[in-house]
Amino acid sequence: MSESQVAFFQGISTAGSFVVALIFLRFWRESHDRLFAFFGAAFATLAVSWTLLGLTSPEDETRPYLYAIRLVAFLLLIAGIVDKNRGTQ
Amino acid sequence: MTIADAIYLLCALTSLAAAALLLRHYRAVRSPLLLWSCIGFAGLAFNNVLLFVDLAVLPHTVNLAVPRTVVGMLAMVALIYGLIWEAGA
Amino acid sequence: MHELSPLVLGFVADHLRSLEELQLLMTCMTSSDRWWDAGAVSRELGVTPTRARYALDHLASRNLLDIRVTGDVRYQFRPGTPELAEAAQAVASAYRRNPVALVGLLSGGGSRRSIRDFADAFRIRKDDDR
Repeated sequence: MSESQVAFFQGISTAGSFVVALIFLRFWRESHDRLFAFFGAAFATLAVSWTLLGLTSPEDETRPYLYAIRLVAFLLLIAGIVDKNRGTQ
Repeated sequence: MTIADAIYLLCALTSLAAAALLLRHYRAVRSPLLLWSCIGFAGLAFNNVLLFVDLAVLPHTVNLAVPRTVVGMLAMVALIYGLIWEAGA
Repeated sequence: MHELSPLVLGFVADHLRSLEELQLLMTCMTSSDRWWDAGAVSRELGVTPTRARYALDHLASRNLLDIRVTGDVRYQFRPGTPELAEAAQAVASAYRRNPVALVGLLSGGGSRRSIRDFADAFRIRKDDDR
């Protein structure tokens, strides 16, 4: 019972993360601010990691490729923030 | 601490930093988008913290999968709400 | 948009980021003997004091306002160079003649304020003007 609940909530998070990525990419198109490109890519990557999680083993987050992909997602967030502060005119 | 644990901790810290930056600027400009995004990133941080606790701290008999995924889902919902409804002007 | 001279367009592109800042500049110019603080600006323009201070700091960093710290921080219109003064005057007369064009430049910029606010949140040091 709890396994399908977990899968259900993960599914919503995954779809949600894709939507967030799309919205950030749209902000990027509107404002030409690179931060949004980084954030969009980050949430798309997060969605991918959650997708793989959901399709393989929804409760087991110890697989290397899963946390490697999540790491990439958060490195993209960090990269976006760093890039923002490099102060390009 | 395994690599997975370290990565989830890093993810939590990154999300927390993002939430903190958003909160700081929200207090300056009072834009609702910032408040909801802050809540979303804080939820994402909490989700990663619960992941870390689940994997690194708690024994295998306890499983935080349900609260974890609910928190993650609520975080995404908050983020989507803010990005769609409060990004108006 | 092209009834505005290159001088005006250049000045706006280089120094003004929002409609608020344009209005603030116009306000400071029309009462150029007055020292403004964030509270007075916030009442005049109808924005929060923090936003007002943000805009004042920005214009000051662009060498358009003089700053005086006597208890509270006050600002007065004082362009740093003759070129800046001339450009500011050009903007002011363009604003009198054709406010719509100038306002359109700044609000039709294609990016909503809330989006810009989001991006600005991640600037860790706020004292630069980008």
